[in-house]
Amino acid sequence: MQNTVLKIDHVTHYFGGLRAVSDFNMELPEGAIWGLIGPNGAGKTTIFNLITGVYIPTKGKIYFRQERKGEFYMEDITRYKPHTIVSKGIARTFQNLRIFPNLTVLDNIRIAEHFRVKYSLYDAVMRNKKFKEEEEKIKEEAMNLLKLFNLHSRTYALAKGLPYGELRRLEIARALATHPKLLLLDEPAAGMNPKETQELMDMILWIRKEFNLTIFLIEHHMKFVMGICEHIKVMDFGETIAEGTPQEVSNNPRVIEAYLGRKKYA
Amino acid sequence: MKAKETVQDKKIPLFKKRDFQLLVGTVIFWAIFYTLTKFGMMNLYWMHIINVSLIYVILTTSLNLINGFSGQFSIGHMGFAAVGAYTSATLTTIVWNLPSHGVGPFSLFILSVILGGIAAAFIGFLIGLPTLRLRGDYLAIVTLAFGEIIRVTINSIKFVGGPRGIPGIPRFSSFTVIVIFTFLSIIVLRNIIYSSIGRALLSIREDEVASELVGVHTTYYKVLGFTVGAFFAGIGGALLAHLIQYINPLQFGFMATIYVLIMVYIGGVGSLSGSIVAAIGITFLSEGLRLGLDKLDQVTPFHVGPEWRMVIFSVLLVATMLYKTNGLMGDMEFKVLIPEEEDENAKHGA
Amino acid sequence: MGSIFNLQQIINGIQIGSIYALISIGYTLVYGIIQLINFAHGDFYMVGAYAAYFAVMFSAARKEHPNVLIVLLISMTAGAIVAFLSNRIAYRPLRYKPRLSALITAIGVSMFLEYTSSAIPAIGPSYRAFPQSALIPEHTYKIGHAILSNYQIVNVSVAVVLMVVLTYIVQYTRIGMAMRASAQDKDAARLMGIDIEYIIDFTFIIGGALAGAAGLLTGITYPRINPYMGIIPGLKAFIAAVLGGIGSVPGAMLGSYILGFSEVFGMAINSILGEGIAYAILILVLIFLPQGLLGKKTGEKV
Repeated sequence: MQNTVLKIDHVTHYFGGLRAVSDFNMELPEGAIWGLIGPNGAGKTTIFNLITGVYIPTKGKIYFRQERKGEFYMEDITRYKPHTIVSKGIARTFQNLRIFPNLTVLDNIRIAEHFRVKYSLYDAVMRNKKFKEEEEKIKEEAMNLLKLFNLHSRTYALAKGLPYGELRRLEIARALATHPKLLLLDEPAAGMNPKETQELMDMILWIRKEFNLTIFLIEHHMKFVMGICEHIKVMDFGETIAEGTPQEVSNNPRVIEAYLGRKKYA
Repeated sequence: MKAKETVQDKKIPLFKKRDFQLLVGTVIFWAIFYTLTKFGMMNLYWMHIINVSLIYVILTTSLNLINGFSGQFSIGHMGFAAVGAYTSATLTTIVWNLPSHGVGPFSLFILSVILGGIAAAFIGFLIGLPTLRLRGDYLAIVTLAFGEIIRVTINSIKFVGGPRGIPGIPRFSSFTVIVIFTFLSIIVLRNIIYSSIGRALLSIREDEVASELVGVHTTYYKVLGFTVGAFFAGIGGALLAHLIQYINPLQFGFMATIYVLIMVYIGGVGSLSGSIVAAIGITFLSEGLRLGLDKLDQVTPFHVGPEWRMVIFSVLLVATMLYKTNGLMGDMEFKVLIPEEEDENAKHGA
Repeated sequence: MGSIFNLQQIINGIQIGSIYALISIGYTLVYGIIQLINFAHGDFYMVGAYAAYFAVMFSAARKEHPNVLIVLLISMTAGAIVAFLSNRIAYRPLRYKPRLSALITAIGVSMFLEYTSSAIPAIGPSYRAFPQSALIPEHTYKIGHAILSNYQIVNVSVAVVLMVVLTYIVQYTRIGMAMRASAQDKDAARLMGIDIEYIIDFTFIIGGALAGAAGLLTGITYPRINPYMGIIPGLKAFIAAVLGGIGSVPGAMLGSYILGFSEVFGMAINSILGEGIAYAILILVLIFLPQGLLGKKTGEKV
C-alpha cells in the first residue's frame, strides 16, 4: 500500500456563475505518474490552478503530504498562497511557457531556488561570507541542474533567445530547482514532433527516478498519456467522467463519446 | 571535472577588484573637485550643481529600483523625498535648533538624514503594503495620489511651516557628505540587485504570476523593493534640504517626481549606470539650457521663457519612448558596477 | 454657519460634477479601448479653455458680440484636434509596446502641452482673466440663502446636453457600437471588419471635444485660466472615472457627480479634507473595489 501524496477532496470551483470544476476527488499515490485528460475547456488547467493556489476552491479541500521529524501527515493547503505551496513541495510548468524572457537561463533557475536561500537583506547588502557561500551553493546547484538538462552551454544566454525545445526543458528544470515532491506538468508535449515527444517521455520517467517525484500531468497527446501514465482521469465540462488504467479509460464509452463527439482528438 | 567557475577572491590583485576601483574612482573624483574648490578655482555655482546632480543620482537610482528593476510604477517618489527632507530638517532646524548654535554637531545631522530615510521607508512600507497588489497604471495613479496626500498633509502642519515651508536650514550637505552618501547608496543598491533579492524583484518584473509560482513571495518583495526605494528617496530629500537650506511642499510635487522619472527612463529602465549618467547629464543639461535660454532671451527681440527647458525635456522623454523604449542604456551596466562573480551573467556596456 | 448640506452646496456640487463628468468621459472611453491613462487629457481641457479665450478676445477686438455656440464649437474643435494629434504622433506608434511606455509618453505629452503653452508668449505662464462677461452677461438669482448664477445654469445644461448626445452616439450609432465592440475585445472587433485605428482616432476626438467644452465651461464659471489648469481637474476626473468603473460611460458620470459632491461637502467641513478627499476616495476604491461602482471585474489568466 502506497502513501497518498496529494488528496483532493470534493473540490468544486465556480467562476462567477459558471461551474468550472465540480466535485473533483483524487488520491495521488507517492511515486506515481498520473494523467488528466479531457477536451478543451474541461477544467484541467483549473485543477492545476486550484492545487497550486492560484485559485481558492469554492468548495472542498486539498491536502498535501508533509513530514515533520520523521512523522508524516496530510496538511490542508487549500487556502495557502502559491509561493507557500511551492515551498511545501509542489512545482508546475505552464501550458504556454512562462519563463522569464529577459533574464539569463541561470537566473531563471536561481530564482526558483530563491526561497531556499538563507541569507538576509543585511547579508546581501554587506556581501559577507554567508552571502558568498550561499550564492556559490545555489549557483553550483543550478549549474548541475543545467548540465542534467543539457542546457549548460546556454547558462548565460537570455532565455528569450532559446529555441522552443530548450525552453520546455528549462521550464522543467526551473520547476525542479524548487525541490518539489510533486511535479505538475501542463501539456508538456504541446508543439512537439513524435521524436521529441518520445524523448520527453523518457525524460519524465528518468526525472521521476532521479528526483524521487510524483508526477501529475495534463496532456492532449493520447499516445503520450497512454504510454506514460499509470492511471488516468478524464474530465469533461468540469466533471470527472472516467478514470482508471489507460486500457480501461480508452475502452470507456463515455470517454469515446466525449472525444469522438468532438472529432478533434484521434 | 572542470574547476569551479566561481571567482576566488584571492586570485584577483586588489587594484583590479571592482569595489576597490569604484572606491578609488570616487575618491579621485572627490579629491579633484574638493581641491579645486579649496583653492578657489571652481565656480561655486557649478559646484552647487554638482552637488544637486549627485543627490539626483540617489533619487534616480532608488526610483529605478522600484520602476526599472521590480517593474512597478511609482510616480510618488518625491513624496518620499519630502518625508525625508521634512523629517531631517524638522529635527535639525526646529527641534534641535542647530542653526542658532552656529554649525552645530555634525553627528546630529547625519542622524537626522538616517532618520529621514527611515521615516520615508516607513511611509513607503505603509503605502506599499495595501497598494502594491495593484498592477501597472493603477499603481501609478495611487502612488501619485499618495504623493499628493503627503504634500497636502505637510501643507497643513503648522509646526513645519505649512505652505511656507522651513527656511534657514543649516547647510550641512557639503560636497564630501553628498559624495559619501551617493557612493554608499549606489553600492547598497548594486548589492541588492545582484543578490537573490534582486533576482526576485527582476522575476516579478518579468512575469509576476510565474514568479509567485516558482516560490517567490511576490507581495513581500514588492513591498521590500518599494520600501528600500523610499528609504533612499528619503535620504536624498534630507540631503537636498540641507543643501538648498529651504524647503516647502511645492518642491516635492508631481512635477518634481516627473523630473526624476524622466531621468530614470531616459537613462535606462533597469540600469543603475543609466540612472547615474542621466541624473548628472540631465541636471547639467537643465542648467545649461537655463543659462542658454537666458542669453537667448537677451539677444532676441521676443521673450524666450525658461519654460522651453521643460518643453525640450518633454520632447526628449517622448522621443526616448518612441525610439528607444528602454532608455539610452537599456539594462546594460558599466562593468565597474557589476560584481565580479556576476560578470558572465550580466549585460555590460562600456 | 448654516448646515453643511445646504442648497448652495448642492448647486456647487452639481456644477463641479458636470465639469468632471465631461472630462472623465474622455478618460474612460480611451481607457476602455486602449487601456491607457491618458495623462494629457486634462491638458486638452486647458487647450479648450484657451481656444475659447482667444475666440472671445478676437470678437471683442472686432467689437462683435461672440456667439456662445460658435465659441463652444471652437473649444470642442481645439480639444479634438489636440487629442487627435497626440494620439497620432505619440500614442499610436507605441500601440504594441508595453503599456507603461505609453503611460510615460502620456506624461511627456502632458508636459509638452503645458510647458509649450506657457512658453508661447501669447499664452504665457501666468493666470489670465477669462472674459466671461463679454460672452454672456452675468445674472444671479437668489433661492433662499443660495445664489445661483446663469453661468452655473449654462454650465450644467451644456454639460447635460453633451452627455445626452454622447450617450446617444455610444449606444445607438454604428460607430458607437464599433467603439463598444473594440472595448470588449479588440482582436474580435478587428476580425469583424472594424478598423480599430479609426475607432481609436474617433474616441480621442470625442474625448478631446468634451474636454474642450469643459474648458470653456470652466472659463465661464471660474474666470481664471493658466496653462497648468488641467493637471488637477484632469487627475480628479480620472479618479471619478475609476470610482465609477473605468471603461463605463455611465460610471464616469456617476463617479464625477459623487466626487463633485464629496469635494464640496468635504471643503465645507475642512479645507484639507476638501483637497484630499478625491485622493482618499481613489485609494479606498482601488483597494476595496478595484472594478469601481459600475465596472466589470477582470482577472488575470494563468
